[in-house]
Amino acid sequence: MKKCKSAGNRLLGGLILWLTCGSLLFGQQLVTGTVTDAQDNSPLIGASVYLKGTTIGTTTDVDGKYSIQTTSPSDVIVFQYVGYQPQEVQVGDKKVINVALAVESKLLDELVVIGYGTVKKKDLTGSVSVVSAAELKKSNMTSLGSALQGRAAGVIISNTSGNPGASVSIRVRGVGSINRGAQPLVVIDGIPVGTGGGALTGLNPEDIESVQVLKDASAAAIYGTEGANGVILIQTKKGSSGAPVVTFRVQSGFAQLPKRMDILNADEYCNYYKAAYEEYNRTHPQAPRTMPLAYTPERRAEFGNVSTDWQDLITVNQAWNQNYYLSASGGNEKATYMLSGNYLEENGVLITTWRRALSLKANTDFKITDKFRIGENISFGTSQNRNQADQQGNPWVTAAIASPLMPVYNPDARGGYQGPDEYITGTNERTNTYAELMLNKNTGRGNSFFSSLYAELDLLKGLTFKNSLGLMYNNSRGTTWRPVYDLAQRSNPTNFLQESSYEGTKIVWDEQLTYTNQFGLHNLTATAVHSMQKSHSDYIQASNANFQYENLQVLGQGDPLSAAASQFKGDVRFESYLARVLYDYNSRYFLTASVRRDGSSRFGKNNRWGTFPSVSVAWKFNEDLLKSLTWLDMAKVRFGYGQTGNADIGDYLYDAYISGSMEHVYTLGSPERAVFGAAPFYNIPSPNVKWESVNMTNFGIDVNMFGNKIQASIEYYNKLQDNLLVQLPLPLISGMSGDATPPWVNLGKMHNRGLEALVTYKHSAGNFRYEITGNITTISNKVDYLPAGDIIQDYNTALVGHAIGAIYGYVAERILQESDFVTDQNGHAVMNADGTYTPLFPKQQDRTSPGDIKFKDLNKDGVVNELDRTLIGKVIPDLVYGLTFNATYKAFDFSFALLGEQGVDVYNYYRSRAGLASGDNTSKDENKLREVLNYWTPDNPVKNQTRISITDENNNGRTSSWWIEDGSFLRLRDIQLGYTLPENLSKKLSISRLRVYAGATNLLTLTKYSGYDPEVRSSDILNTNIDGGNYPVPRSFTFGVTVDF
Amino acid sequence: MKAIKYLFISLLLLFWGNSCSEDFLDLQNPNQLAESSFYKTADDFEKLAITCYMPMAFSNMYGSSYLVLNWAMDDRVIHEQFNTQNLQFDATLPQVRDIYYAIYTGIYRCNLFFQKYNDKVPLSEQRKNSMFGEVHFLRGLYYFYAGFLFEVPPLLKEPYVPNTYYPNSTQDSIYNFAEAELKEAVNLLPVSWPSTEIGRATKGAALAFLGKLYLYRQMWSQAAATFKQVMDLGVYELSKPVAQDSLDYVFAYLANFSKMDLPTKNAVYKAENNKESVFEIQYSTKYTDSDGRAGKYLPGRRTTGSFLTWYNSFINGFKNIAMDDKKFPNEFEKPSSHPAGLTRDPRYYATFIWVGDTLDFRTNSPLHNQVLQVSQLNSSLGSRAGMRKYLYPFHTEYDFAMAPYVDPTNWRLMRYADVLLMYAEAKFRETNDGTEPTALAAFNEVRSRVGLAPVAALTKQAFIHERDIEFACEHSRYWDLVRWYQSGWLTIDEVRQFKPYFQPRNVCLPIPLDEINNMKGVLKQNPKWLS
Repeated sequence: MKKCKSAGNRLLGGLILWLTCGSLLFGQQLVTGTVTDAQDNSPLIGASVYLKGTTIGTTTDVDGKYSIQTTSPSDVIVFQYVGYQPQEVQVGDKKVINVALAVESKLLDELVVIGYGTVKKKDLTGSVSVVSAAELKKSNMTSLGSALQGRAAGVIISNTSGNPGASVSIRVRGVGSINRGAQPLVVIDGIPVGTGGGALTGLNPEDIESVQVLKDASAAAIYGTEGANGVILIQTKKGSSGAPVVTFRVQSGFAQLPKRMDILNADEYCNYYKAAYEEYNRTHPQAPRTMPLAYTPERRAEFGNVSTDWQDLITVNQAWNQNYYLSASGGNEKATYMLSGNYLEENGVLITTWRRALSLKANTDFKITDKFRIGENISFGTSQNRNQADQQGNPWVTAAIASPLMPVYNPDARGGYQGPDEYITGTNERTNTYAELMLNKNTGRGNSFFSSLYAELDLLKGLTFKNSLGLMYNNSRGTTWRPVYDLAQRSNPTNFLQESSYEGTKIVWDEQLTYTNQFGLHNLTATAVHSMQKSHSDYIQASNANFQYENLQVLGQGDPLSAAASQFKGDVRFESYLARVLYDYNSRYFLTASVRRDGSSRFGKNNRWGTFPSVSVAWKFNEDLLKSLTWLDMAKVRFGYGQTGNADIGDYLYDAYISGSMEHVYTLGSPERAVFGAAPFYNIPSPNVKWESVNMTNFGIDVNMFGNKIQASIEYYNKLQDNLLVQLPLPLISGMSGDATPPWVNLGKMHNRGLEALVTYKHSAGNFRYEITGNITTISNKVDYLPAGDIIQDYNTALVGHAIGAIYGYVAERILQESDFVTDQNGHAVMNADGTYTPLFPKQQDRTSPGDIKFKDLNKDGVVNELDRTLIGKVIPDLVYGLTFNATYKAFDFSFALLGEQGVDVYNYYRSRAGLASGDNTSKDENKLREVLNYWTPDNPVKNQTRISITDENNNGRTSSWWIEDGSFLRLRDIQLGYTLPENLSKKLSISRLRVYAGATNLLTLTKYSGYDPEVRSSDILNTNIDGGNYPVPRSFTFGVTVDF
Repeated sequence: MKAIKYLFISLLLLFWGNSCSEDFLDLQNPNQLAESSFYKTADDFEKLAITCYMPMAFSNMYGSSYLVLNWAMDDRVIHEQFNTQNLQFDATLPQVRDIYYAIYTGIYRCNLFFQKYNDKVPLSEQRKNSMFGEVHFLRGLYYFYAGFLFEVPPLLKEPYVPNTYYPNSTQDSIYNFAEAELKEAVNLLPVSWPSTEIGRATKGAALAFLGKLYLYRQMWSQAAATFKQVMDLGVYELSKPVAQDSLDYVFAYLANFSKMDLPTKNAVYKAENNKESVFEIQYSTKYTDSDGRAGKYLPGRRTTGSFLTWYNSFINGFKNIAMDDKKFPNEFEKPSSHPAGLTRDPRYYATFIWVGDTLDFRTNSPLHNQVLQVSQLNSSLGSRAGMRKYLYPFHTEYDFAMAPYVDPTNWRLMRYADVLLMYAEAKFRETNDGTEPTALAAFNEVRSRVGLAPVAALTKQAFIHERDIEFACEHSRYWDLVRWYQSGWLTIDEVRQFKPYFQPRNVCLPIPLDEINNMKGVLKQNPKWLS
């Protein structure tokens, strides 16, 4: 319990003081002195000095000096400085009072939440990363997920999209699963709410007291089948007894696209394709093609010689956002409270995208008697957004490849825009993506309600019974509207409205018995819990088409014959028992042991229950072995082992189903009548399906030195994953691969190993105080066994003996030159009568020609075919690191955070589409990046670009190392400069604190990657690091003011 | 003590859940029908049998992929998929995968039908026979496609067993099994169905495909005898003009490619499931899935990417198909005398629509005075002619609402004209006699329907010409060229006059790469496709 006086006492004290101050004047005396740092005797500037229980006070000057008028010898002067332990000195008869403040060591006594309990941070036996509220405040981010990025060793958080409100992908210690959920469990104030970045959406960093990540299995085993991918424990802010604190913050800023792609304009485009058709016809004497008239100057003149820059049209130069936060907290010994509200408005850098969110939160705690406590935590959030509309193609890619000859508008067309029309745009029928974004609407609305109540009763000395109930309710609505519009070849002749509605409820009931006691030097905490979870979800989608009045967008106004609806329901239940013992002897030798038994409706009937044990030990060896080293404050070794499971495997996998007849209609008879069929085996049954399991060992050393100025810890983890769910492939001949879910088996094996290091250094020199924290994580992942062999998808793979997700394809060697073919006496490649060239290297395609890419014949069988593919890129970085720097100088504070990844690849699909001179298989005369103008010719035998053509006959665009780029980056993630008004000034304004700040996010990214952004991640490990035109994460600038009253 | 009581109560609370745990965790899937409650009633098996027809109609097959691939490979059609048209594709071509999958989906469903059927199912003997006949027919048909398209894919007579790898079969065993299935179907199927059941397989359909199978295997006498049985059933005849008007000649033929019946002032020519139809894939716009597109499960061909419907082709369609306007028009005969006074083979007017031609031959149609604009053709295809065959009927008259996505016109998989020409060819090759009377009569019956003079004697060239014209754009052409190449009528150089980049491997499609990967080395690529 904190030593603060209750608000009532202070109020009373203040009143008495005010009433009596006149009569006490005779006892006043001037006291002076210096405030210094106890460590190095440097003066502390701006330290606050005040009379306890009054508003009389001052701050120290640049020499650390102060002077204060006291009222009586019984006055107590309080000396305070941020980051130092406060001191109180009774005035008595002293005229000079010099104090030396010691650096606060509170950090070491910081309590860490470990699930169903807390321990002191210095007593931890498992591996837990902690991010505090103070650190979160240094981020300019408005979402918790992004704010955590790079701030916890072993936790890799990646952006998946720049869309406002997009969730992040979170991975704790490598990749936890091949096919199923691999994101950590999120527990908010003791209630498990869901997994991964999605569960963090809507949480405001301002409301967070601390974030803990349970990384190793000895820590996470307490969450059993939900702990395999780590656990993120979030504590929200609570009130504390004392004077009410009201905080108001307003923040505003704008985002912009950090980079633009260099795309051909209309003149370049036409000249380029003129050359491409000429070259094609030269090499295809038997089947020449005619260049579309649309590329000729005459035709272009008919449409005003337009040159449309689609990329420019679909992006916003300055996407503004604003964020308001108001909170009030306080309380007394009997009750504490915390109330907050937040309003956020964000615009995306892609036109038409935005998000608005409003959330309110309240929690209170009451001491009913000395032995009985109750409390609650309630929050409600509502949000609205408009996302990128359904497009005929990704807008970022379409903006690159659509014809620059297409005018944007056409006042005569319904909808007002011009679409691709053979007459204007030739073969290129890529859509007017600007028009589609403007015309088609994809909006969403969501409400989320979170509540938890608890009652806690002390039964005996040290024995407490806690009963808590959590209730969550979420609903979301999505609306898709497509009006009728003419976009020539991309017209939408039928208007369409779709409404979808999701509703989810989750109830978590925990009963917990905790026993804590001390027997001499033995400390013991034992916990037993029974927990039940029940969730239900219901998704309904309805659509209609052919609306007579487009302004009346309600389902009932469409054509009844076009109406369609579907529904999906889900139920999941868990029941668990767990027990844990925390023991230590003399605060030097520690033991933690736990066991959890979990049952779930998701597991097959044969495997309904699983048991998950863990044990971990720690030894603070400095007091036993290194007592003479006075600079060593603490040294501890830790070892832990535990088992956890992953129940995020999907529902009802164990049973076999028939797919509904509505999906299978045939017609018979004259006149036609519908006949309904049934497709058998929609799911192949997997009656033995169960959780995926993790066995993890963890070894760590923690050291604090030099008066806790340096704190370091390093750990090694070895995470062996077994029983991974793998789908036995359904080959095409099964006849089911399109409709059916292949059978699941718990047979895959994989491991993740690595090192994590975290170092914090704090220093203060006079008024300048700073703290640097660096963290590094290495991951070595390998797939050890797959029952049905390797999984090879279009890009990503799971190959036994290699890291999961690795990209698979051909090895591109170089550009083929004339000398690679049969040449004439002048050294020029000889073209045969049918336009082919005779290769002097392993055959690739029938019409491989000089200027194509040479792919490696890996198996040396003389032919380059699918057998010559191999691993060409890695998707898990070797090294992920973060560095944060926080400094204060007088009233200024400054911080920045760096984030980096090393040893990771990105497959630049975007460039394989838009940066390839040899055309593409669809032969749609797509627009290109300007780099294609430097195409290969015999006279310009470049080594980085192919020959020119309208169709890719060598399949140069195939998945190959040509399109793999180094995705390593170092990013200045956050930078912030703040200024806090000196206390004497802010007092005049009747506020206790005022801080103004300016910051930037993603200000600078150092990378070799040529696309928009190297951080191309998805939460699906078998579909990641593929840059198919992701919504780039913007760069943003922020300005804000925080006021405490 | 009070505290002891609390402790006791709380421990009790903590563990009470145990007794009801199993019920608590046992949930039923509310979204799907458990397999254990199926395969019991006659209705269940009716549903299963109907699903056996569907894969032919899938977008993977005649719904889209098969159409696109075959138009791209057809030398009389110009398709914007240049690489496919130039036969520059390999085992990764998505359409190849789609077709393979559709065929084996059909086979799986037929296999499952036979596996799940048992004598407890309450079915009348008559219905049981015809239902078995339908499923045997379909399994034979799917294997016929598997045999000529992929040559050496696996042969499964039972449903797929998970985690099993199936090796290549031989084309002979595939064809032998298809033959046995079609023969079984011939025995079990009725000659015709009542009007409510039209569209189901018939004895005639089974015989026609059995004959075609023999023809592909160069078993001339069996082929001829089997086609003769179809002709002798007496239920089929060509859609013939009732009057010697030019429009009657064109519409009698065009009715075979139309959704709506085609009227002239003399008659109304029945379109779908007419007398000439032996087997059709039944399409409709009536039932669509939620995204408004048909073809995956549902009736209706997806036409994005084809020159098919009124809507797509003229207003804003994907103009990715045109007709060869250089060589092909000259192949159509210019009769010196024609009963209706036409100066060209009527099939010429049914096959081509040229820039400047009327959109609709019917004088009372609002489209009659509209002509094809040059802007309505894709100039990069370098042709001034579109494909008229599948433009009928215009969707403005049928169901405009669904026009952009779905073409509801049935796909004629086998028409009687094909039976006649295949009979004539088989008989000619069996007898090597150009004047064999039954062959000559069958051949000339097809010519006389369009008012062309009979030929005096059958020759290789006559067959190549007549099939080229009669089945233009019907997916027959490319596989005819392959068949004639394989049976020695055409040399590779002669084939290359039509398909300049033809290679020996192009007699079939490669086994999809995905499937070779799935089969872990047990299934091998067809050796023809290995170099």
